[in-house]
Amino acid sequence: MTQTGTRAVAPPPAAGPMVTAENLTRTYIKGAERINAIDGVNLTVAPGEFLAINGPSGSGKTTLLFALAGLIRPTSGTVRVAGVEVSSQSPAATARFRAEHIGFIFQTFYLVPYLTAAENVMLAQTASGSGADAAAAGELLSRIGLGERLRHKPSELSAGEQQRVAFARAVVNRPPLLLGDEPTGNLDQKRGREILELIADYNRGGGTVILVTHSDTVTEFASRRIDLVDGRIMGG
Amino acid sequence: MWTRIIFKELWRRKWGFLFSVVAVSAAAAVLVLVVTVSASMQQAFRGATLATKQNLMVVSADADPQKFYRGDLGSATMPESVMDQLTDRSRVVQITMEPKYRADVEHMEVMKIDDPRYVNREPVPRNVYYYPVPDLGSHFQAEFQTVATITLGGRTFDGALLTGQREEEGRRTPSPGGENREAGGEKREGGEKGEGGGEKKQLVTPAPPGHAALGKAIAQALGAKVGDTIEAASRQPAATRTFKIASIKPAAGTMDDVRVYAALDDVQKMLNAPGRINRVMILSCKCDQLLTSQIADVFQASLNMNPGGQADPVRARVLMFKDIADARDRVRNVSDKIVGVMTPTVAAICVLLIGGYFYFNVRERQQEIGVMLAVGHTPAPIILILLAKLLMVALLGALIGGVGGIYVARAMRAPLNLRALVEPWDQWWQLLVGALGVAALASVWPLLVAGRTRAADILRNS
Ligand SMILES: Nc1ncnc2c1ncn2[C@@H]1O[C@H](COP(=O)(O)OP(=O)(O)OP(=O)(O)O)[C@@H](O)[C@H]1O
Ligand SMILES: [Mg+2]
Repeated sequence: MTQTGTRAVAPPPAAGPMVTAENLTRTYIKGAERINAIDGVNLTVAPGEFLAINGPSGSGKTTLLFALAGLIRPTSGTVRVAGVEVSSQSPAATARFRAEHIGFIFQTFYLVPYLTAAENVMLAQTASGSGADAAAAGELLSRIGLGERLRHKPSELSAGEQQRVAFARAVVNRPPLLLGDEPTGNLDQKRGREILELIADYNRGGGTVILVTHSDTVTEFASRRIDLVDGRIMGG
Repeated sequence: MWTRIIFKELWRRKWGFLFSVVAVSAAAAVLVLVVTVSASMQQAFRGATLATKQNLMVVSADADPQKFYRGDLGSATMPESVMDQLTDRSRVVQITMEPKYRADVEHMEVMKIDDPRYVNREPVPRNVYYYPVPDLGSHFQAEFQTVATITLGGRTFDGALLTGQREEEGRRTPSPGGENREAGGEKREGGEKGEGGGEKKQLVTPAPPGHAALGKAIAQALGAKVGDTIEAASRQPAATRTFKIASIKPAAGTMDDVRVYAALDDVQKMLNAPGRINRVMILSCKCDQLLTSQIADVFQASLNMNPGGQADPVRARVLMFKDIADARDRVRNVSDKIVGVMTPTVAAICVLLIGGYFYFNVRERQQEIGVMLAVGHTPAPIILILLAKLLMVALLGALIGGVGGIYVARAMRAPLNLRALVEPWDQWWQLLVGALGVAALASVWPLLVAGRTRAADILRNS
């Protein structure tokens, strides 16, 4: 089961940093209150790095990750991924960019409930220029041990299996960057480790990884670790 | 992949879909039902009133209205040439109005056919239509009618209406603005076919000379059979004549049952009044009251015009059967009103139904929308996927409702024929356009919600 992801992803090594965040701030206004979910974050991640982000609840980890993925527009500051300034693009342009360059896994999987495992993977394929490829999706799922589960709906899969499908969906377009928001948070120790192994495989294949996590296991795989407190980076 | 997504999602949430399709179908069916039933009601009513052969009647200006309502037109006669004058092709009626006999008739006049606009068929202003007088869709029937006593083998029937008839012979009925316009008032022989339109069917076949067609009530009272010879005795002026029974009319439940139809010539000879008639019936003009009254004016004007330099203008009066025209208008108004209220009501209900359904569907699917955005789909195809379902509800609803409404209308034995319902394709276009319009309106709010969906807000673990 280990060693499988290597062939699954072969991201092109980018020249220069994979991710750069400059003075990144995101402010939420709730009534009279202004919350700086992230507050002047500067971050550079080199190609092939495996970065773990730690921090207490509400410290801005998810906000940072979403801003890196272009899912959140920063209030100020810039985000570059593979040399492209994501933070200033239109939503449609960032979406297209994400399809080719960024994979995302979530704590709660977010599989589309009425589609099979294979179709959930194909959903990501259709977003990229290459289009749906059932054979490739099936092959990828087989390589991560889900060969018997291609036609299963998410509700017919265990939590660990669902997260593996979500992983396959994230990497099927061979993006150079993989982001994860507590991907092991809903899994037991063993299943969590399996997912981390897959992610580590992807990382060994050249992919850059940024994981938000509370899990200590991640530290085994991560090449670097930062702490976020009140929207600011403390260590690193 | 997109169709897969559309149909798999549909299948997963099939009950909501089914429910909304059924609800929209029901609403559409109600509308179709209302429209078709009201249309067929109008149609049936028009048919019924046409069957009473009314519209306009020309009588001598001296006719006594009281007698005339009893059917006895008596001695107040006018020359037979009135009929020719009314049907004179050298006269043209100009009517300014919408094609469908809308109530906005502005102007109508009688003019000579040598009007250059008409003869050269130069472009005329929109909504102006030229009709030669006989082409208004009417039949003309000259009659001499008198009250008579009928005798057969010792039995008598008192108070029969002896009616001599001459119908205008098979006329061409070219469509307005069509070919075959010819000046001159000469009549055509029957059986000829105009290129511009079919030949008008005769309403009645007057009995051949010496013969009569007998109303059912008279035939029953006298025990008369075809081939018997009856004697008719008129009172005013007093005269008698015999007729051989050519046919017996089926019971009509109207004055026709006490009528003896004969050739006009015979009756004129009997009454010693050659070339005289006492009324002209103008039948089956499919017009509303306003138009009918305008046409009455035209005919009246035409009678007063004294063409041909006669010494005396014909002293005749054009009467309109106002009750029936009124009733017809009322039926039309009521059904127009019902349709006018029901159409926007049903449309609004459908907008609410479809819009509400679509809104909740979009809300339900926000996570999917978020996932699709996260894996790199742009908003456009996502919105199309959402709209596909909305369109399916609207179009399926319109289709099922349309077909269902027609079916129910048929099942109710509403007097309509399917061809007439299906054939005006603009009805289906209207339904389609209506469904799309409803869908468009219904989609506004939900699409705004969908468009404001931020993947980040939905996918954030909280
Ligand atoms: N849409 C929003 N509107 C207002 N405030 C928000 C919004 N999203 C996030 N926040 C606030 O921003 C702060 C950072 O939230 P974020 O989800 O990034 O934290 P986190 O580190 O991921 O927390 P957790 O570990 O619980 O997931 C929190 O105080 C949160 O309440
Ligand atoms: Mg979080």
